[in-house]
Amino acid sequence: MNEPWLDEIRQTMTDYKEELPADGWERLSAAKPARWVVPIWLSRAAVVLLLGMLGVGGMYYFLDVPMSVTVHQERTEVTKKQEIKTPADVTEVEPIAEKQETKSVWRAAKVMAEPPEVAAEIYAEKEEADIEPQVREESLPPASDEEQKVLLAMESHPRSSKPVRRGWKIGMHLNGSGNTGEMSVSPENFIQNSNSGYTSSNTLRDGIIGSDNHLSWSTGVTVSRQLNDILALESGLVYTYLSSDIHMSMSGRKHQQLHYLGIPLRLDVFLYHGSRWQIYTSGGMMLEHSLYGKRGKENLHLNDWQYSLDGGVGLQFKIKDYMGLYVEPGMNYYFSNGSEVPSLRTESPLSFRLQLGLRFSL
Amino acid sequence: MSIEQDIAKRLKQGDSQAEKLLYETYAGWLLGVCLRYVGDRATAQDLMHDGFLQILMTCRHFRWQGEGSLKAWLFKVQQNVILMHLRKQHQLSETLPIDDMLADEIPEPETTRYIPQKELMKMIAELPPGYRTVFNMYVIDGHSHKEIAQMLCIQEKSSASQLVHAKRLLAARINLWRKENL
Repeated sequence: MNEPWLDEIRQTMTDYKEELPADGWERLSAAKPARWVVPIWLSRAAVVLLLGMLGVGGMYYFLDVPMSVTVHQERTEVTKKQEIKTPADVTEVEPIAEKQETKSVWRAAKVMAEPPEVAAEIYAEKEEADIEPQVREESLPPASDEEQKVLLAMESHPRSSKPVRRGWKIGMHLNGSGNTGEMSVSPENFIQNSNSGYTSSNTLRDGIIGSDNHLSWSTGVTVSRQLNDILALESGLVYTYLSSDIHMSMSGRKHQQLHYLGIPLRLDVFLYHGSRWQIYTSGGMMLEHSLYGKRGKENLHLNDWQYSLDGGVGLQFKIKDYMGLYVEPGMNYYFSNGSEVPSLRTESPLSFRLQLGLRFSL
Repeated sequence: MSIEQDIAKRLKQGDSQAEKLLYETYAGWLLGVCLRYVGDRATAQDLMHDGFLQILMTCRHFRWQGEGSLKAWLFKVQQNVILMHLRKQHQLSETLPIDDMLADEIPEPETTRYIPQKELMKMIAELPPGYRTVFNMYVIDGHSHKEIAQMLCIQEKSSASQLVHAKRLLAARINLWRKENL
C-alpha cells in the first residue's frame, strides 16, 4: 500500500483488543457440548494391550508353553516305576482305575497265555492302548490337594472339551466404524509475514476450515486357519470407504470420498467353544493403501499407506456345521501417516467398530 | 517453547485449563476483530461467542505449524463466522448515495498516529457495512481484491470501488477529528 496513513491505521488496529464481558468464559463453558476426550495415555494403553494380546497369543503358540503341568508328568513317572509288569506276568486285564489318577496313555496289551517271547513281541509292537490303562489303584500314591486342583483345571479347560475342527475357513464381513459426526477444523497453509502482527496467507486459497466425518464402511473377504483349539490366524482383503463433508473457506461445502484397500493380519483367541456358540477375542493390524479420492469434482491424488491396530470380542453362532454367523464389536486405532487430507481417521484415530460376518469351513 | 506452542500442545491433549488460557489470551483480540467488522458491541460479542465455541469444539485437531499459526487459525475461524453473519444479514451491499461522499484531502500519517485506538475503532464502526467489510479485509487483514471478491461473492471491481469510498469517508472523519482535537 502506498498510503502511509493507512499503514498507520493497520498497525494500530491489527492487535486491537476489546474488554471481555465478565461472565464470558462461564457462558462459553456452559454452551460447550460435553464430549469425551480420549486421553493420549488411554490410546497408548489400548495399543499396548493389543500388542500384548498378540504377543501372548504368539508366545503361547510358537513357544509351545505347555498347558499341562509337571505334576502330570511326575505322576506318569511314578506310575511307570510302580507298574512294572512284564507281558509274561499279565494273564488278564486288570480292572480299570478311577479316572482321577492320570490322563497319560499307557501302552498295554491283553495277552493271553502266550509264550513269553511272543507276548513280548506283541507288547513291543503295540503303539497305542486298545484297552484302558492298567493301573493298580493301590500302587499309586494318593493325589495331593494341589495336584487334584491342577488335574481338575485341566479337565475343565476348553482344550479338553470336544476337539475344535481344524483347517481353513473363509469369511466375508461388513464393518461400520466411527465417532460422532463432529465438526472439526483444520488449519490452512499459513505463510510467515514478518510485517504483520499475525501470520496469514497473503495468497489466500480455497482452504479447508472444517469437516463433518461420517461413519466409515468396510467390507472384505478373509481367510483363517485354525491353528489349534484356541488360536486362529486370519488374513484377507478389506475395502474401506470414508466419507466426509469438507467446509472450504471460499467455495463452501464439498463432499469427499476416500477409498482404501488393505490386508489385515489378526490372531483370534477362542475363549469358549460350545456346540453352537463360540466366544473369542481378536487382535491384529492392517496395512492399507489409498486407491482413490475425490472432493467435489476434484480428484485427490493420494498415495499414502495407512497402518492400524484393532481389537475386539466376537460371538459366533453356528448356523450349519460348515457355516457360522458372527458379530464382533471392537476398536480401531489409526496411526498418523502425515496425510493432509482430513478424514475420520485423522480427526478421530481411535474409533469404535462393529463387524458382522459369515464364516465358512472348508 | 513459546506460549502459543504450549497452548497448542495442551489443547491437543484435551487439557481444559489450556482452553481457558486460550480464551484469556486471544478472546479480547477476537472481540476486537468482530467489532471492527460489525460495528456494534452486542453483535460483536455474540459473534465472538459463536466463533470461540467453534474453536473449542475443534481445537484439539489443530496442528501447530510455527509461531503465529495458532493466531492465524483462530482469525480464520472467526472471520468465517463474521462473514457468514454479514451474508445472512445482506449487509455487504449497503452503501451510501454518491452525493454523500466527501472529496477530502488525504490525512497525514502523523495525524493517524495520534488518534486513540478506541476512537479509530469508532470511526471504522461508523462506516456503512459494505465499505467497512472491504476496508477491514483489504487494509487491516491484508486480502487482495480478488480474494475479497471470492469470499464475499462480489465482483473485483465492486471491491475496489467500495474501498475507495471507504477511504474517502474515513479520511473525512479523521480530518474532522484533527480539526477538533489537534
